[in-house]
Amino acid sequence: MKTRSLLLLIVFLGSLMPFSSVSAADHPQRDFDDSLSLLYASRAILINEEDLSATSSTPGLMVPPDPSIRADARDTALSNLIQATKDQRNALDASCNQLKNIYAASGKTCERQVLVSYCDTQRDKLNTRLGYLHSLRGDQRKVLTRLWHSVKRSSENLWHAVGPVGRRLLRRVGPEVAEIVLSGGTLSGGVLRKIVYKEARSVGKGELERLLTRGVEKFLVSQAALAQAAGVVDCTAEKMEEARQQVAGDVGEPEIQSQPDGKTSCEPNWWNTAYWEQNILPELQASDKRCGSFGNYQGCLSERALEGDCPEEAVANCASVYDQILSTSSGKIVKIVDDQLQSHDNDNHFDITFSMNGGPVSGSVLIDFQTDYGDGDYCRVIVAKTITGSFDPGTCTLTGTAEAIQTHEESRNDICWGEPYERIENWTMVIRNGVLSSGDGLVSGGVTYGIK
Amino acid sequence: MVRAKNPSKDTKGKRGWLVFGISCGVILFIILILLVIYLVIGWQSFQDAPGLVSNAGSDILVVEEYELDQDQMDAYIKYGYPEAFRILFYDEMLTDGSVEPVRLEVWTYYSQGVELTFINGKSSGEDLIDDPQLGDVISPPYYPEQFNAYISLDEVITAAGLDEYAVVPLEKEYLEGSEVYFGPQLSFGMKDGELRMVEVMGMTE
Repeated sequence: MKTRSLLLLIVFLGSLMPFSSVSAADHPQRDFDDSLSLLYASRAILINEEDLSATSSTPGLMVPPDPSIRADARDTALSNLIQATKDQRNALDASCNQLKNIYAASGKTCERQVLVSYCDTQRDKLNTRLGYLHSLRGDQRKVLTRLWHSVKRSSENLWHAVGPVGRRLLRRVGPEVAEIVLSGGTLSGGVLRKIVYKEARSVGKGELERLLTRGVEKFLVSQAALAQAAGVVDCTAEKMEEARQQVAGDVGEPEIQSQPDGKTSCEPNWWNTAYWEQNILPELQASDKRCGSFGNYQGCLSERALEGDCPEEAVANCASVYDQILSTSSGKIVKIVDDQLQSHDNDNHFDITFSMNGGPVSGSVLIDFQTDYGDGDYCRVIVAKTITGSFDPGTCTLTGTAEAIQTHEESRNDICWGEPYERIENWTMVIRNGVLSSGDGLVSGGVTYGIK
Repeated sequence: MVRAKNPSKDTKGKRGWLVFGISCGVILFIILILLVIYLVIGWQSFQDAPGLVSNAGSDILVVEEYELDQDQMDAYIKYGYPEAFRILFYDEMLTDGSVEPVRLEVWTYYSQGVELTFINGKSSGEDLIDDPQLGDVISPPYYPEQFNAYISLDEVITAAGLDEYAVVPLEKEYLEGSEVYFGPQLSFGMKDGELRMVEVMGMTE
């Protein structure tokens, strides 16, 4: 009996030792959302603190921990994590709404279906996390829990006193962490530094939202490719799980690879111009790639077909080329600056900036040329245009107005033709096959620029 | 007169001492066990508590740097080193069922009003951002290629040249097996002993 009790005690003590799971370490699941949660947690610790200048005026980072402050620190830590989870959930909602609109407009049904189920799953996960964290905070009000934490803290403080040199407990996590971040432990020269995302909250919020959106977009692209590879048309959560299992199974199941070359069978010589025009091109023109150039993609599919790929395989193998086609949901900012614009001479200026997702367009034109008439007579003409307008990703068209001011500089009166003017001009540009071009509206002779 | 010894009383006395001794031994043993439990719990708690580690040493002398893609080198040439950056490391399943590590990076240039996104080194977005106009942005003492995916804490310490850092373990209800670390102008997150997140903060003075 005594031996059994002793064994149980040893087992109990053993369970207190911090063992890590070997299997988890061997095959850790590395989700995007977990990495993002780490970022949200780190920001919450810093951002929710009071004015950091108070930190710098409060020396004494190494003061022994006061048990009551440590208790508060745990409360604060929980509050920070709750805030981090709420922030992540809000950013998720914002990104999901934005992407849903984009995918709905571009007719990408599969991506939209994956997006909806992804957003729902993640929101549930974050809500569950919030519930756990709230219950933890409430749990501290119970007498036994408080007693347990008090015992733990007193032992913790004992180890703090006799424990290894080089590791000290933080009394108030946020301010002390801020001190390290701002100055590496010591503020020097009385210069107060500021963390940008803390001082300009909207900037910080935008940074995280964009990061989240990019990550989700990447996920959707890979999921759509997965669905395509598995031949799944309906991309609901269940079907996608089947697709994942099928694709994962394909690697290890020899019966799937029953073809001698490991490829699925299809009509030989399936690739021809009619196939492109009937099956691929309409889909591209209806998608967010409609403004782009399809030549490389068509070439890639053709090459893969010659290599013996079936349609699905060719599409999967050309996914990277497809991704490079100019997209109206990439969020890419197009900025074209040309300081060698040809108009009478070749050192004029043209610039234009707009988002591929649509919205406002801005830019300018500056044409400055001089015509010499001999005997010292000359006429210098300067045309400055300030461009405003908008880009419609549905039609790949940019339209707007330009405020044009033309001035003259002449060696003597009546050398220059016409009169100086100030007027508003309408202009239109269009993106076709990945090339931005204009008529005569902006620059005489028009302009043409390839968009990468 | 000689009295005869009472053998039963003598035995009783000896037994009494024996019982007393055993009781004391048991109590001492229990106290000892409780003390061990108390110390083990405290040690575990001490290690799990937010802490400041100074004179951080690492057995690793050199850490292999990440190799930049052409798009990223072009960005260096065009905009210079980023004033702030964030990197997330994670995995995604490919169409052939294998798992692809993803390196999602965002480089921020506050003073030039631009933010660049790279996925596995390839440019995947350029956003115009507002300059926060808080003052001169301080160039950070780090650059993105210092940080490789899934490296250990020792490797991060060597790669970033950290002498001192703060560690904040996160509640398992938030993210099990994870901690966030803070160094000068830097934070990074580890999960299951692997680097999963790096943020070099934009700072002004």
